[in-house]
Amino acid sequence: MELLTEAPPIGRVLRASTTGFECGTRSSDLDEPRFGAFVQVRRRNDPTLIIGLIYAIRVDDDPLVRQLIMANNINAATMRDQRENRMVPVEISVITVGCMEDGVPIYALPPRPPLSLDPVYLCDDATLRAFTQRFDFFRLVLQAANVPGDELLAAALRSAAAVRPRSEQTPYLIQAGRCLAQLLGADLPRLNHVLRLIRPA
Amino acid sequence: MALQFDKLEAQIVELGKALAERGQAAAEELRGAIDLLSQLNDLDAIWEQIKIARRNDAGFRGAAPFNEPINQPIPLPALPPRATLFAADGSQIYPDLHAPAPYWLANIGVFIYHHGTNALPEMISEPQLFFGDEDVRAPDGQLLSAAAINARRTVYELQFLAKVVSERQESVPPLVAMCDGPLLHMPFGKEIPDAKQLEANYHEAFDFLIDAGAALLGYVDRPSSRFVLYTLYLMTLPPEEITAANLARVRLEGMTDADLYKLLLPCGARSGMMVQQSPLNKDYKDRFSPAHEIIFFYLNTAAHGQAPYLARVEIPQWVARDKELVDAVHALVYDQCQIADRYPYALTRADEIAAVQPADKRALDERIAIELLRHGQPVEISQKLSMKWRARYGRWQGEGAW
Repeated sequence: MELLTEAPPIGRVLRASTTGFECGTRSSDLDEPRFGAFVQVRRRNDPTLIIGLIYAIRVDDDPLVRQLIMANNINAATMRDQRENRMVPVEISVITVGCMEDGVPIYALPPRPPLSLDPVYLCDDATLRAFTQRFDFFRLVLQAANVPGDELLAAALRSAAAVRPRSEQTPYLIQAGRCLAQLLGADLPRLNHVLRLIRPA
Repeated sequence: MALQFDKLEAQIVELGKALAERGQAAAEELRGAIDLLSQLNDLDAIWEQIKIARRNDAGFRGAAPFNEPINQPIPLPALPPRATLFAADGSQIYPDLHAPAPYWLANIGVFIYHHGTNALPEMISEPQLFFGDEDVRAPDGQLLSAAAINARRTVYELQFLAKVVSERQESVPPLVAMCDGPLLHMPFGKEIPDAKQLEANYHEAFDFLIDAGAALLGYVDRPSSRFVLYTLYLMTLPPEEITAANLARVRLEGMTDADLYKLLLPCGARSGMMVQQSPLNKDYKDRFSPAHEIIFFYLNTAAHGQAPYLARVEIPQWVARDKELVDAVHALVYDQCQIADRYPYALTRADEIAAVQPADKRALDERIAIELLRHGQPVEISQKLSMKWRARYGRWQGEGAW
């Protein structure tokens, strides 16, 4: 089953579990992925579309890059060589926040993780709108270990609001804030922090 | 099993002490050598001593001045605004009794750097698989030795470099072709099958580069050569004492030419050009062409503020005779060394393009095994190799579970 997206993949799965995965890409392909973006990946011949959130992007170094930095004499040709010719790997870490089956969002971990080399795409607008119509994925984000949950959730909500008509964006964020108040009611400083992060400008 | 450092401790202390003592002796020798070098202004006098050594068949292996003083730094010339650099390197997979089939592989990488522009550098690699009996086995039936493979790979490296340069000889001049390692090193000894043919191919590649109007250089990082030190010793001998026995007696206390020139050359400066005196270099000149004789100079590749760092740059005579080309080689090599850390960037990248990693070797073995099976050939995986991989890497490549 093919994904309903024409965009090129942002990377391919390096390693995965049901709770999340890392995907690799080249440094020259790093224009699209951003912190808090929703991504989708589907195993070959599997109807489940796994939905995740990018929570970290890491650019690995190597001895040559270190040498170039120490020499402090990089010119444009060297820069292009490093960025366009060399396989400087970028790792994108994704937390799984649910999945979709037959277009229906399921706010639970998927039955199986994606496999190595499965292509990872940014969520198209329709999928993103469908998945974020409910806020049941909040708990997975806020409870995730080793993930900057508050900032990640705020960035994700801004992404979700952005694919809605302008007139719906503020009501959407207010509705999200109410849901957060229920989840974080016992932790007012944290709730205040997240609400400040998603407050419309 | 981890190395037992407790059993080594006393030996490490002993090593430190011995090296410190040797260092003191070397420092004294070095001071004497520098004094002597500073007095060697008369190039004819040096040549006179060398001629006596030749007449006496003394086996002198030192350096002779080419056409410049050897005791004065030659400052960094102006950098050409544009140039095209071609850097080549190679790596290999040696024939392996434990592989699914007898084969060896040479992988040559060429990196093309368009100096003075923002153009994207180019990368080319050329893997060649050798599997015929005549390519894999020596006349005695044994698999080719590492020395034989190294000789072949070196020749392929220069041939491929010459081919790439020839195909692009219309590129922006000057064209500078560079290899990692010396140019004067070909071990075409008796243990190398087809040594004569390899040697001829090597020199034919020189001719292709001459025809393309390119400079060629071999870059030796952190050289341990002592050619100038041998010359200094030669200059201390009266003519009647220039004999093989006396020249063999020289003791240099771990000193190298680099130790001398680190004190003489400021950043970016090079030594005068010199000719290594050896039967091999004479052979290059007499049997092939005077243009093929190898000349060298030392270059301080350090940036301002860094400690001196020496390289030996070898160039054939056709380059050495062209002052403009020598200046271009000098300036461009130093410029390349400033991009990375005191080593030419283009050569670093050529090495990276050519390098065959252990994982590549495993994948290639696997691919060959599949191809053999596809043709109904039995494949017996070496138990020795399998166990080694298990011990080192946890599981055999392709094995699904622990």
